[in-house]
Amino acid sequence: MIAMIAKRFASAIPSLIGVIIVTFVISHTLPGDPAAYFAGPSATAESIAETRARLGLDQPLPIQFLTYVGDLVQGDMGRSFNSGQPVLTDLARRLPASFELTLYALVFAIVVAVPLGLWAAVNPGSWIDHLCRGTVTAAAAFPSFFTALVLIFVFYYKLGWAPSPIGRLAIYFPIPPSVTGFLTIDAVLAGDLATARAALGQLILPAISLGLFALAPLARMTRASMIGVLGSDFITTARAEGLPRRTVLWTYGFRNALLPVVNILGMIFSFLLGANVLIEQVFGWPGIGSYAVEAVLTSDYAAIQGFVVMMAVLYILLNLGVDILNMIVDPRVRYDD
Amino acid sequence: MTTPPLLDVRNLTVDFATRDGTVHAVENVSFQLARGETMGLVGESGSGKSVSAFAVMRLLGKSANVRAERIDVGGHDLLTASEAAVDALRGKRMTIIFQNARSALNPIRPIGQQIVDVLRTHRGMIGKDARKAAVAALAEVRIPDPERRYHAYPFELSGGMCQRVMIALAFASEPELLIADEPTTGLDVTTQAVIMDLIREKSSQRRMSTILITHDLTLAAEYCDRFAVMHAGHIVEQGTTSDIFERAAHPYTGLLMQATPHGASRLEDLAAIPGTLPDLRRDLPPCRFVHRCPRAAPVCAAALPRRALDASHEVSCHMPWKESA
Repeated sequence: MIAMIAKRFASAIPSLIGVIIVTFVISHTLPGDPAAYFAGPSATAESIAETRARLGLDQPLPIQFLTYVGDLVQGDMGRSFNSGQPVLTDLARRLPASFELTLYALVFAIVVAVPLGLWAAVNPGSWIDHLCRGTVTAAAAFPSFFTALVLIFVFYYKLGWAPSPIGRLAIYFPIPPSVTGFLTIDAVLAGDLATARAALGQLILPAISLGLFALAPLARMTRASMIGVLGSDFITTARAEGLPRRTVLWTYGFRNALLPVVNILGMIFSFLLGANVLIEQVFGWPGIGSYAVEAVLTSDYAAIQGFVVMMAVLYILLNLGVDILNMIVDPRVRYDD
Repeated sequence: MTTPPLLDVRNLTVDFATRDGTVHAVENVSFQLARGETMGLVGESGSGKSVSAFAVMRLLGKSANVRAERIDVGGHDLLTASEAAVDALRGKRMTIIFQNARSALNPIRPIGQQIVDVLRTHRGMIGKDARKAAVAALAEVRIPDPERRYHAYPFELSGGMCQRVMIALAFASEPELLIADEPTTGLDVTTQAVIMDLIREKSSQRRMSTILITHDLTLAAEYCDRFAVMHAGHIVEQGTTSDIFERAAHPYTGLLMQATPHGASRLEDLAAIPGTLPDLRRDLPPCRFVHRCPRAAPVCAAALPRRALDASHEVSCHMPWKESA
C-alpha cells in the first residue's frame, strides 16, 4: 500500500512540472506592466526601467524562468508586489481560511445531497425523487455569487439572523491561538465557545452558498450510483437469501453505491476551492481566492504563480487522499497496479 | 403423488409494461414439484424460464404484472403473501443460484461475512458460532483452505470457486426449494460437472427440490428427474426425462433434441430450429410456435389444448408426434 502511494505520488510530478511551466508563461504574457504599476503614478521612464531591472523583469524569459524554478525548489515563491510579503507566507496565512470554508461547504453538501440522492434512488419516480431533481437543478442553476447575495439580502439584511458578511470573525472577538488554522476548531480547543460560535456564524452563509453548487453533482451521483447498485445481481442475491431490507439497503447497497461518490469527492473539493474565488469576494473572506483575484488585477506575477502552483499541489494531494480513501473502502483497488 | 407437492404453480402469467408495449413474457404456466425432485426447465434464451423462476421467488420488479391461480411453496401461499412474509420465506424456504456467481456476490464484502449474514438472518447465529458455521459451509462445498478463504473477496476467486461460494450461501439457510438459474454457464466443462455434482449431492442429502434452469439438455438429462420445455413463454411439454428424451411429443421438443449435440453426433447431424422466437409484444397466436412449426396445420389457430399423454407426460399441441421422430 505504501509503495502504491509512493507510485501515485511520483506519477504526479510530470503534471506538476507542466503546471509550473504553463503558469509561468501565461502570467508573463498577461497584459499589464508590473514595473509601471510599482514605480507609481508619478514615475518617469527611467524609474520604471530601474524598477524593472530591480525586479529582474528585464531579463529574457528563459532566464527569468530558471531563476524562478531555482527559487521555487528552495521554497521561495517570490515576493508579492501587493503585500510586500513572501508569497509563501501570504498563502500559508490565507489557505486555512479557504480550507475551512470549503470543508464546511463540502460537509453541508454531503449531508444534504447524499441522503437526498439515496432517498430518491430507493423511491425512483416518487415525489421525493422529483423534489430532489428540482432542488438540485435550481441550486446549480444560479451562479454561486448570486446565491450568496440573495442569502445575504434575506438572512442578514431582512431577517438579521446572520452576522454581517465581513470575513471570518467580527473584530471584537479574540482570535484563538492557531493550532489547526480553522477558527472554529481552534476556538473550541482554546475553550472559547463564544468565539467558536461567532466563527461558525460567519461561516454558515458562505458555506451554504458554496455548498449549493456541489449539491447537484453529489446528489445525482449518489442517486445514479445507488440505482445502479440496487439493480445489480448481488442485491438480487441478497434479497433472494431473504436478508433483512435494512441489511440489503445499507450493508449491501449503500456501501457499494458510495464508491463512485468517494471518487468524485476529490474533484468536487478542488472545484469548490476554485469556486471560492467569487464567494470570498462577496463575503470579504480573507482566503486564497480573494488573494488570487487581487493578484490577477495587479499583474502580481509571483502571487499568481504561487497561487496556481499551490492549487496544483493541493489538487494532487487531494486526489492522492481520495485514492487512499478508495483503497480503504474498496478492496479491489488495493490489489490493482 | 399422494403427498402434496412442495411447489405448486398454476396458470402463472407474467406481463411486463415497457415503453414499446406490453411484453407477454410468460402465459399460463403450470408445474408441480415433489419433495426431493429435480426438474429441468429448458428452452431457448428468452423463453421465459428465468422470469418464471423469478416470479416464484417474487423477485420481479414493479414493471412486472404477475398473475396466477396459485403459487404455493411448502404450503405457504406466495401469491397473496405480504412483502414481509415473502422476505421471511426467501432464503429460509427457497433460494436461488445465479448464472454469474461473481457478480451475484457482494464485491466489497468478504465471502465468509456474506455467509454469516445469511446464518444470522435465518438461523440466528452470531459471533464465533456463525463464523465457525460459515467456515464449515465453505469446507462443505470443498473450498480448499476455508479458514483463509473466509476473508477472501469474490474478485480473488475463480468463477468456479465463486459458484461454490454461491452454493454454500444458498444452502446455509437450509432451504427446501432451490432454483438453479444456469448455474454452470460460463464455467469450463470439468468445473460444470463438479458444480452439478455438488448441487445434486447437497440437495439429495437434504431432500431438497431443485429447479434447474438451463439450455444445456445433455447436462440436464443427467441430473433431472423431470423436464418442462418452454418456448416463448409457454410450457409446451413436460414429462419425465425418458418421456422427453425418448418420446418427445411436441414438435419444438423434437427439434430441440435435434439441435442438441450428444456423444455420437456430428456437426452435420445438428439441425438449427427454423425462425426465431416471436415478438412477445405483439398479439400472439394461441400456439406461439406455429410460425416455426413443421407440423403447423389449420387446426393450430384454435385455442391451445393441454393433452395428457399418460400420468407423467403432458403436451400443449394440436399436432403432437405420436412416436419419437
